[in-house]
Amino acid sequence: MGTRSRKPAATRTGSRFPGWLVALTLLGVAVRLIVLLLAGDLQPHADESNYLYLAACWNHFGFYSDAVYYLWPPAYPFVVAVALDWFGAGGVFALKLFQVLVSGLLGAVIMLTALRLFNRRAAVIAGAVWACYLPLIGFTHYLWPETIFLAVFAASVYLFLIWWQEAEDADTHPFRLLGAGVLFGVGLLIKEVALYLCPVLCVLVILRRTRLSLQNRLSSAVLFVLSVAVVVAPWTLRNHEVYGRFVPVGATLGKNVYMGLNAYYYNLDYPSRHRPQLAEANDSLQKLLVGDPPPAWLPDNKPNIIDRLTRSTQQGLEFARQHPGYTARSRVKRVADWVAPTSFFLRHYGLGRYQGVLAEPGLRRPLFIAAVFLPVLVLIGAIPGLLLALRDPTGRMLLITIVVYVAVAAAPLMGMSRYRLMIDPFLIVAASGFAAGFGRPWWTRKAAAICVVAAWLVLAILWWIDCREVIEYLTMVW
Amino acid sequence: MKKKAHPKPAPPQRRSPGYWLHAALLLILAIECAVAIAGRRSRAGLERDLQSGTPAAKAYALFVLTNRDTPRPPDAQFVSDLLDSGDPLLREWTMTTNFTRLTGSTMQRTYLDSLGDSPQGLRCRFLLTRGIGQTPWMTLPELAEFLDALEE
Repeated sequence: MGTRSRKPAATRTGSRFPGWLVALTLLGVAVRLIVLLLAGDLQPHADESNYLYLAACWNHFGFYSDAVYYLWPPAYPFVVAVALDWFGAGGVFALKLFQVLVSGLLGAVIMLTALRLFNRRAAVIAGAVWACYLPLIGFTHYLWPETIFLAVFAASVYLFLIWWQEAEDADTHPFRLLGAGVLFGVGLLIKEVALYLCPVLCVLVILRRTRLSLQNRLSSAVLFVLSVAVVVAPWTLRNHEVYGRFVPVGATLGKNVYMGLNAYYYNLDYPSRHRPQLAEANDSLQKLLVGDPPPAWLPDNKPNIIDRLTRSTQQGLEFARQHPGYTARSRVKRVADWVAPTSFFLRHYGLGRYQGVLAEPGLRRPLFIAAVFLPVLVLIGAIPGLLLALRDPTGRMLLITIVVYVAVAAAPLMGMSRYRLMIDPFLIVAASGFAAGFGRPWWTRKAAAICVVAAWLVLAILWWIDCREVIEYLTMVW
Repeated sequence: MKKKAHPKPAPPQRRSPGYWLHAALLLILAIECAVAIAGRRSRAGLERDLQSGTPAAKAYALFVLTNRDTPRPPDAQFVSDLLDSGDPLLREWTMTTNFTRLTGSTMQRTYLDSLGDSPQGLRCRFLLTRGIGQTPWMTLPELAEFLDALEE
């Protein structure tokens, strides 16, 4: 990045948390608090019921069970269990309040990352977008672990970024890498989705040629792995004790493979009662991409849950090998679902969960518009943000790696907006960087500019595939 | 003739903080493994707990024994024995486990019906009803009722 200082503007002026950052964080938290209060007592739905169930069982029996179809990592059910233990039925609200507060950490980290990679203007835009980004706001008052996971994961990535940038300039900063690893491990105990990102990051650290010697790069990669391992290991050992199998944190892949690499197709962004009508609205494309499915496979009824889920993964892969045509075309639909501007916030409206003020048309409709258009703008802006505006090679490599990892690991399997949430904070950062420097002559970098146009074209095609469904759904809940 | 000065011995090289961090993390990892190995329950120990342990120990032993490599035969007789065990916690655990869900649902329902509206019945009803999928589960007032039943 040439002579440009890597230090964020805030540290150059002496304050690590400038006033505007604190103000925007408080604004975002206040918005979430207001929505929480307006949402009232939402009845638990799908996975939310399971988290409550697991937590209540944990309190009652004294140990953590599994959810029949999944072996979820323990941290979130533990937090729910503590909330129920301390506050009884009021623990549900207390937990949501906790999530609202924790989301402030995510907002601050998003702004700090934008400040570090771009400038103050980008950070302010990122903070403003985060403050009113409804797909993220929704999860602060749902009983899903996304909010807490994202706060911890984004903080880990931020520390990793600082370490990686500064490791090239001076002595290495092992404590930052240690912090990044520990937070990464905590994140894994909340959601295991980032598990394979750990080795990917290590390989990048080792292979990327920097001023660090190969020995130092190896040593850093080992330090990162060890710091993740010390956090995760007790739970891995417990899993071995209970199930007699090596399970680092949880086992959810098998069930997702059952739903994703099979003859079934459904998009969990839509309530089940709306799906037939949505399929009808997008009939020709649905038939083309997920029509004429081969016979479905059923999971084995092995008594050991780990064996059962492992076998499901094998069965899914066998299915993909036997039916490559169906698998390939249905992946296109899954990825289209993944980038569609839908969200669980909109799904909750479709389910009729929001009552009272939030359901009033005067408030509901502006919220719909914001819930659809902000993700659209973020996705459009994030592409040039990552490929053109972001000039720091370390930051660009890290953010693109995370985006590609999630796009490869989650999108083709179960395309839904919830699986995009993990990269939303980084997309917000990138889009804000682009918006902050809008009008600069980036187009002179022709190769990158061609990549941006190509990526926009792919995004446009994917949106076109799902647009009839999305419009139909919005019309239904409008 | 000027005396040739001896070169100063090089100062001992300091270990970098990274070195000590590696060592400390390895040590923590080793301790975690040692504790886990030392605390690992053998099958015989779990069987003993299931026969004569505290209610909580019995439930945990059952949980591990039915999940490890050597699952107990989850047949109807086994479920029946557990439901007739006279131990509330063990009976309630039986209502939750995967193997009884797969094999003994009718028996569980019959047992559940016999409990009526008692707090234990409420607890078992909750424990038998999982929330997977998009079907409506317990409402928050029902959850509150269940949590109250736990107190009784």
